[in-house]
Amino acid sequence: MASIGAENGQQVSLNVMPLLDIFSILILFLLMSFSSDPVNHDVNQGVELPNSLSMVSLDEVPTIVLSKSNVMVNDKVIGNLVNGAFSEKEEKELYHVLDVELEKLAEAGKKFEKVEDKEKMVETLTFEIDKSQKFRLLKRVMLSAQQAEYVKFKLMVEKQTS
Amino acid sequence: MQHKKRRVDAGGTSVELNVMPFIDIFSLLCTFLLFSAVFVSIGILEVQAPYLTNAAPDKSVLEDKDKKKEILINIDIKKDQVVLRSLADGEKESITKFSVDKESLDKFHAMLLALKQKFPTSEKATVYSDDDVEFSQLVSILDAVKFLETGKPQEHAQGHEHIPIGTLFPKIIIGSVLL
Repeated sequence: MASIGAENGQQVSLNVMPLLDIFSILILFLLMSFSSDPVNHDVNQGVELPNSLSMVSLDEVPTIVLSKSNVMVNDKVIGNLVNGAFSEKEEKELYHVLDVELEKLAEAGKKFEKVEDKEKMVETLTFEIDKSQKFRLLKRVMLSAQQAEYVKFKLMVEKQTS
Repeated sequence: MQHKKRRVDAGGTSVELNVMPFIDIFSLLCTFLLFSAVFVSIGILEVQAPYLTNAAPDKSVLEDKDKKKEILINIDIKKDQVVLRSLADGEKESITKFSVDKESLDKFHAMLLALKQKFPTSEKATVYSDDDVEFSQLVSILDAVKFLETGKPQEHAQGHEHIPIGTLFPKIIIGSVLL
């Protein structure tokens, strides 16, 4: 019990045991939610994920982010978006940069395969896409990825709770 | 001031347990876990891009295909419409159009479920989308194609045990990538 002295000399006790009970239950809950997801990833600020019925959990950090304002590959900004697309002047150049970045990524993955002696590890790319993005941009990015020999794509979504 | 719990043991001396360090540790741990907690559960939808190969087809796969009844499913997604085209061996192509409201998508899902019941070994569907379709709309249609909808009456699951739980056509190919 905690106790303090009051003005008229009386001792007032504060029972801290319920506080300990609350804290211990809260910690148990937070530890369980902390350990349940294999990958702990904070969604990018410019991205609002669409809801989905998918129950498959995220198993790797996203490589490509298509937010409302830019396109990123491995946290490197490729270009800024205007109304969901690159500006007409910079479009060709930026898509070329995207192609180069994805090829570098594929090369790095192949080196990793040789070192770790694993086959076909680099086939999958994870996308984090804002729900308002148009398919036009996604299609073009997928085409670049396919040319860099990526065949399977994992699209990040928010699991529906109900 | 001291925050202690008093207890008197058998010998008459009082034993005090200082709980304040526990509270300090718990409050720090709670702060750390709250900052690192993720309250949004993230999932993934797996799709594929089409790819072409010059390699000769595997004969054993061809022999298996002869035995299985397969159906070709193509889904065209426009901004205000979804078109389902299905073609089975020896049958005429069936084309059905749906709008994008919830009721029509439920009918779209029901039609896919019926096709899966008829061709339970088919797992593939090809999706073609217009450029102006939003990603959220694409995801809702992919959900209808991939997964058995939750919230439906249990008779769907009970009556169709040969369909794997949770999946209709899990292999989705985004055909528009090459167009």
